[in-house]
Amino acid sequence: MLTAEKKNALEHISLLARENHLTLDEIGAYLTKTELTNKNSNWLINLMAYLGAAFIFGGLGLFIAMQWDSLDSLSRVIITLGPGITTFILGMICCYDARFIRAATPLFLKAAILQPIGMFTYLGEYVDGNDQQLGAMLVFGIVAIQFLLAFAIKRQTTLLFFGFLFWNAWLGIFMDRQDIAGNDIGMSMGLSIICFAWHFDKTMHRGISPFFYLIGSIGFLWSLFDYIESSPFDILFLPAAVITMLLSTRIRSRTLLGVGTLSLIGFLGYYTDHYFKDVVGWPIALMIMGFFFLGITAFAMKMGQRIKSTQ
Amino acid sequence: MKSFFKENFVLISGLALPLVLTLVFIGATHLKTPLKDPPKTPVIYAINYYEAIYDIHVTKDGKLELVYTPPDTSRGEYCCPNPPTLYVYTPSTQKEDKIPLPEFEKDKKFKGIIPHPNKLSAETTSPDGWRFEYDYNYNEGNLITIMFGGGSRYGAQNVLKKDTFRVPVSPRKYESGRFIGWSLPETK
Repeated sequence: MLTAEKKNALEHISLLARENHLTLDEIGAYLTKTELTNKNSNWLINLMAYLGAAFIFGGLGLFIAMQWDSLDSLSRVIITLGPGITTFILGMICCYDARFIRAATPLFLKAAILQPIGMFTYLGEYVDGNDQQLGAMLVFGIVAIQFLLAFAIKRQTTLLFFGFLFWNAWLGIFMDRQDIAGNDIGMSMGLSIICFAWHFDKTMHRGISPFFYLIGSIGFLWSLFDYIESSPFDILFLPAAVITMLLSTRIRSRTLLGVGTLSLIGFLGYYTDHYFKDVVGWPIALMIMGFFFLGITAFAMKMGQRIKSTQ
Repeated sequence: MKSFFKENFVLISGLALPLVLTLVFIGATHLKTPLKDPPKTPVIYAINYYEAIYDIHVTKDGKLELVYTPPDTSRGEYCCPNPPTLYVYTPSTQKEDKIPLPEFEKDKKFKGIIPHPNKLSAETTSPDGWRFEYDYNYNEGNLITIMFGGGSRYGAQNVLKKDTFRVPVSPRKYESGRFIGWSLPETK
């Protein structure tokens, strides 16, 4: 949670950035540069800590794999679910101590991997039945609630990331069980994920937005294309790709811009192959249209600068 | 409350969209609008049908006949396939009943009538315009369903079809049914 002092400082920084035409990238690059010029030995301590954690959990994983066949059901559940719950609790404890707050992220990451594995192990060892989807819904539902409740308490970005990921896993399976068509699932969940990323892009948790923009936009456009491919409505993909690019300029997301651009280029290739195969005039027309759009861009920029100078 | 919705409008809309869609689908599947012209003619079909050994068909005079030919293991034919299971689905009661096959010796050729009260028709379309089909669909999946929803989906069920309408014949899926005939209503 942001304190009043932090909020004031952020407002001050934002004002300075606007007055001096500083971009987020320039600020981020400068902060990274000053960090790198810091010649104290904190980086060595951090490296040793991460290496130590990686070796411990790597060793645990390998030990489990080697001993799996000789373990009984209870041991299997304890050795998978146990560390998962333990690392989650440790992560929460770290959130309450400013000295260890940076250790929370790797701990939550490990909990996010080990807990579902442990729960699936429990289901596999103790529960009869062959409805794997129901089992997966149960596991992802419980972990989603756990991580999102923890996020509601501590506002850690990692908790939000995994909580939302597990929520989507639960939702996708739930929708599939209702016999909803795959493309409908893809489009609705894709839009949902984009909305989520858009909302949190304006908060301190914006670090996770690019990943969800990527998943959401690819998911939505892929499903939309599957829906309308080779139908009279396939041209509708063009405004969808253009709107993605438009959104990317509004919210300044390079991820969305990349996905929108690649989708547009891919669609032009499909459209050409479908309707204008061997028609040489078509790609020439596309290039002329492209130069036309670039011309409009240059004109719009000049107009914008003229407006600014008169204000 | 109003300001909460205003501030988080995009997030709430995004989270609500797939849930609303799911509710609409659940509602649509459970709201059974009665068909204007439902199927009336009972259909006979077989599961685990192996025609080379068990040939079940409708004769010219509308009877159900079984011709059993013992497998020729010297030519590599599988020794002992299980006999097919014969069902009659009655649309008016939406019930599926088994039709027992007659007893016969497995090492001898057999030809006999399977008792059935009504006259049968081997036409692929029933008198009321329905067809029996094994409805198969396959969805490759997309990024979202691969990551979150189980990937590709395959579904198959025995159904009665007419135009765009389909009526499931049995609750079991993935059992390819072989159409045998229609059980015609008694003419008075």
